[in-house]
Parts: sequence; C-alpha cells; structure tokens
Amino acid sequence: MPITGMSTLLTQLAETNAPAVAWLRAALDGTGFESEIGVRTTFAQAARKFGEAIVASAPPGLTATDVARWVILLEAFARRPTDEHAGLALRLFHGGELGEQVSMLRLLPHLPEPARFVDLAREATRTNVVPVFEALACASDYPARWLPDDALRQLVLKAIFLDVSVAQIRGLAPRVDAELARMLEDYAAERRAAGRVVPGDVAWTLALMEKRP
Amino acid sequence: MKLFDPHIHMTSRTTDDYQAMAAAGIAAIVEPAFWLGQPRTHVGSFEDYFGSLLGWERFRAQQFGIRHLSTIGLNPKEANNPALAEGVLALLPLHLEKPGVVAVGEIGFDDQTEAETRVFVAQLELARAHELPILVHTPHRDKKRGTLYTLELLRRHNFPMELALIDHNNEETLPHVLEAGAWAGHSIYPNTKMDEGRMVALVQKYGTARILVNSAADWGVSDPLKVPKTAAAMAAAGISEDAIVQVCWNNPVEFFAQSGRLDLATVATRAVVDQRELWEGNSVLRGQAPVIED
Ligand SMILES: [Zn+2]
Repeated sequence: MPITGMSTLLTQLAETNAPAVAWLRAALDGTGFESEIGVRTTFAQAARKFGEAIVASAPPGLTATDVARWVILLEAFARRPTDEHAGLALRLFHGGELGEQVSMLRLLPHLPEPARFVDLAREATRTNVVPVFEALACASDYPARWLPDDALRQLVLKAIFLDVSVAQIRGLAPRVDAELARMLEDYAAERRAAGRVVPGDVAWTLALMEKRP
Repeated sequence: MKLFDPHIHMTSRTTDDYQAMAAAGIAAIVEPAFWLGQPRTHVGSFEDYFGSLLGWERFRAQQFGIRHLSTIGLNPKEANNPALAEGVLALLPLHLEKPGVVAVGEIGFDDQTEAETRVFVAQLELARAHELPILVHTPHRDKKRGTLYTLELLRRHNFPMELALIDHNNEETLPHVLEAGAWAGHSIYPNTKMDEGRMVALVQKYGTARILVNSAADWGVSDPLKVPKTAAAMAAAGISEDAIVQVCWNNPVEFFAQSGRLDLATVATRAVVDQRELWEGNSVLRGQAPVIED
C-alpha cells in the first residue's frame, strides 16, 4: 500500500468522527506539538478521541485511533530531520501504554522506509504482553518483510511460547531456514526430554520448510 | 456478585492473587500510583513505574478477566524530596492523558509537611486541568487532623468535593468526609486501618451513599480478598444485596466514571470478553477459539 497523503487520511476519518478530526487538526497546529512531549501527549490522547472503530478505507485492521496516530507520526516526522525519525518512534513506543504500543506496531509497515524501525520491532519480539506481540507478529507482514533472520527466528519461537498461532505470521514460509529448523528441533527435544507435549506449531513450521522447492 | 476493588497495588502481588481475586468475583480494580516501600531517587524510576502500571500490569490483570485501571500522581512520602518532586510533577501532564487513567492519585499527606502541601495543591490544579477526580491518601499518624486539613485545602482551592475520594477512613474521620460532600474510602486491613466487622457497623450507621471499601493490598501485610470478605460480612450481618452492590460496585464505578474515561458498558463486561473483541478488531484469527467465560 503506498503512503497515503495526510489530507486523504484526515478526510477519511472526518467521515466517521468530525469532532475528533477537528481536535486533531487543532492539536497538530498548536504550539504544544512543536515539542516531543507535545507529540507524545497527542499520541496518547488520540485513543480517547477516536476510539476503536474500524476505518473502512484504511489498511485492514487499523482502527480510527491507529489512523489518527499514523497522521500524528507523519506530521512529527515531517518536522524533523529524517535521521531522528526512528529514535522518536522508539521513544514513543517505550513511553506508550499498552494501546499506544499496539498502534505503533500496527503502523510500522505503513511508515516511510519501514526498515528504519527494525530496532523497535525487535523489542516487540521479546514482549510477554500478548496483544503487543500480536500487533507485531500477526497484524501485518512487517516481520517477514523487514526483520533480519535472527530476529525473525526469535519471533517464531516466541509465538510458540506465547501460544500465538505461527500460521498468523504472514509471509513466513519463504523465510524459514535451516537454523530455525534446528532451533525448533532442539526445542522439541527439550520438551520430549521433560516429558512434555511438543506444541503442534513446531511440526507445522518445520513442514513449511519441507514444502519449499 | 461482581466486585470492584478501587484501591489495590497489584505490582506487588502474584498471579496467585489475581487468580483468587477473579474466583472471588473481583471484576475491576483501580491501582493507584504510590511509593514502593523504599524511596526512589531518580525521576526516571517514576516514568518506568507509571509505564508498568499502564502496560504490563494491565495485561497481567486481563489474563485473569480483571479490568485494570490506574490513578497517576506523586505520593506524599516522596513529595518530601524536592528535587525529585519537581521532576515527577513535570511528568504528570503526559501520564494523566494516558488511556486507562481515571484519577490523579494517590495524593495527600504523610508527615503533613509544607512540601507535601505544595505538591498536593499542585496536583489539585493538574486534576482540574485534566478534568480528573482525585484519590486522596490520608495519613496514618495524626490522621484526624490530616483529614480535616485535606478537606480544608479542597475548600480553600474550590476543588469540587464530589470529585474527591478520601481514603483510609475510620470511625473518627468518616462523618467529616461525608459531611463535606466527598466520597469516603475504607481500607480493610488484617491488623491496622479498618476491619470487616467495623465496616459493617459503619454501613449500618451511615448507609451506602458515597461509601467505598478496598483492600489497599500492597507489599506489606495485607489481603487482596478484603473486598469480597467485607461483602460476605455485610451479607452475614443482614445488609441487603442492593446495599452491598452499591458499596462494592456501583459507588466506585460512579466515582471513577466522573473522569469521563470509564466506559460504563465496557466496565460491566469481563476483561476476557474484551480480549476476544481485541482479536476481532485486529482481524486476527487465532488457531483456537478464544476463551469466553460466562
Ligand atoms: Zn495505597
């Protein structure tokens, strides 16, 4: 999906919630938004203003709040040198409550030059908070497209540990490699040695590799 | 019966506690920001603490079907470190805007020093600016004087009494709080503060309007099941079910709903159901059917 212009996004949002869009426009125009704390505050407030409604014309799975936060990020990026964008996104993620972290991860594939945000995504591969993990692992093809091999292998193992179905990691099949297969087989051996059930997703993921040409 | 614990410090409790609380009927809790038993010396420690209340702890509660809300503020004990207090006060405007925050708290008095007064008044103004109610801790030492002083400050600063929940009341302080028009919380503790039997007597004497009970459970000797135990004690003493629901569910919901950030329809449903909605909202289809409890 190409990067949608900000005005198009705002028009889409206004169709469902005009007062919230008026609030957002005023916030982005205000002097408070000049500072990073202002950006963080607006990013946090968006949830109360926009809610969880799905925006029909937005990429699948994005709520009105996610779209508003997308607009906020693009505006904050536009006012800063490019080499500060990834740092800003990471600080917003670190300082965010659960919902802000989920939004940020859902938005990663839609931000300009998504590869810049790999450090942020790597952090989310380590989280134990299932909704946050799912927002990275299952909401888009970001992991399969942008995560380096080692981080993607950790993501797959973590999904199995958190009982998040590996089938939801989009585009995974071509990226399953011999090292991931070894890790999965070691994990299966560890479970068998402990007399425990091997999760079905281990065999399912190994089968992805065998099916490859 | 669905129960609400409007004051409990879950960061200090185990998952065994969450499990027992859910089994005893606790469906929603408010976790006020407080001190950690040992003073913090870095402003950043507060930022991470607020973050953990609004992130990790909310998720932990959700796993047990318990809706977790927070109050954010600078507690009176640590208000006495001036350099720290200034930095923490500067953090509050951002954190008071975070989803899941339903009041400024817990604020109030410990030693009743000038520094505590300054920080308390500053947070009254923050509550006003962010349109939030306040959760007020009353001191354990020189309690009655501290409670009266708190009410006096609220009056002096024209803070609306109906937006104030004054906590840790006893027989001596409760009539003053009710008379002032504020809400009155009671922390039911194993040894100190208030116990179930005395609480029953207070409800019999004063009725149920603006009266709340909580466990205030933390890292000290305390019991996260004190709300269900008090509800049971009230039932055993012949207090009507309506009255118990009023004290143990309706009053906390009504008080915190004044924040405008508590969706009454949502709070009435269990957090587990909400998690399923989150999956649907994500368009995420899990391999297995979500757990939905009745
Ligand atoms: Zn407390």
